[in-house]
Amino acid sequence: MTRTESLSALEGLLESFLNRAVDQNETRLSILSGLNRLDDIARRGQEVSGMTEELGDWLAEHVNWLDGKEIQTADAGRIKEILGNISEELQSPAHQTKETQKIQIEIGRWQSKLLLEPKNEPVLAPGQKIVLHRGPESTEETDTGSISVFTKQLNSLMGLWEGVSHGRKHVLSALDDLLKSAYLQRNQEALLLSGFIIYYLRQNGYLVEPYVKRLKAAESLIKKSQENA
Amino acid sequence: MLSEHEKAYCQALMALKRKEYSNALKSFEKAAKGYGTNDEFILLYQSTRLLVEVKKELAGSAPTIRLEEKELIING
Repeated sequence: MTRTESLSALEGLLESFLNRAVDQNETRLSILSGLNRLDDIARRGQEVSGMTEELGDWLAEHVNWLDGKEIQTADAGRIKEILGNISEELQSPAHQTKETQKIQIEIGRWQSKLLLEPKNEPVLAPGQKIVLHRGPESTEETDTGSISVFTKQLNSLMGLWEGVSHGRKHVLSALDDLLKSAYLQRNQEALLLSGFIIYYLRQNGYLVEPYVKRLKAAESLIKKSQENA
Repeated sequence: MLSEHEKAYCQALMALKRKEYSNALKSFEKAAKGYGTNDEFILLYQSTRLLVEVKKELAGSAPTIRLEEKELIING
């Protein structure tokens, strides 16, 4: 493997890792992004007319946060604090308009509804014990032949493909990364996608034997690790 | 209000989502003082830093396109 090929492989792996890391934290990222935007709005306090409009949009856009399912207690505290700062700014007599009054009322609603305590937190009296009852054991079987499971798998493979092909010019470079991932990380999805790509390349007249060998080696490793699990 | 470091971390993550790795790195660098001991931060920051370096190396090692030299004949 040449130095450039090694660097390309490393590039693919790093991009794939970072994409996955961001995807896995999608909800958290959307909350941080919302918090950041609210903070930006608060910092533009002097331009009150623009701020009320933007804040109105923000409150409408994030109204689902009020149910407390997505946001953490610390985030709720942060939002209350920022809204409190904005509210103080709007209370100045110079800024009193119908719009600012409406926004004040909405801020008040948010301040009272935002949860600072986690929902459904068990509260135990001193000395009280929790007895856990174990239910009957059950094995959850997934019907791999169902359309929904297959569609989910295809979507997941598409995500993997986007990560591994980003910045690449040829399918073979992405295939090389996928086979490495299948072999070294025992990545079942990388194996599936590699198989599909190899078939596609064979149909288009490419010589795929070396890739088929690598695919088989990865497949047998994954099978072994599944048997040992 | 969010601190400068918190804002920078948010911006870094958003840049990563947009696959703007150089911008993400700049924001991670701004956030580093506030998150220097956070494992997740270090992992994302260092991976991004390495990726940007790898991309620079790859861009540097790309073959240069040579233009064919043409002889200009000037009459006169």
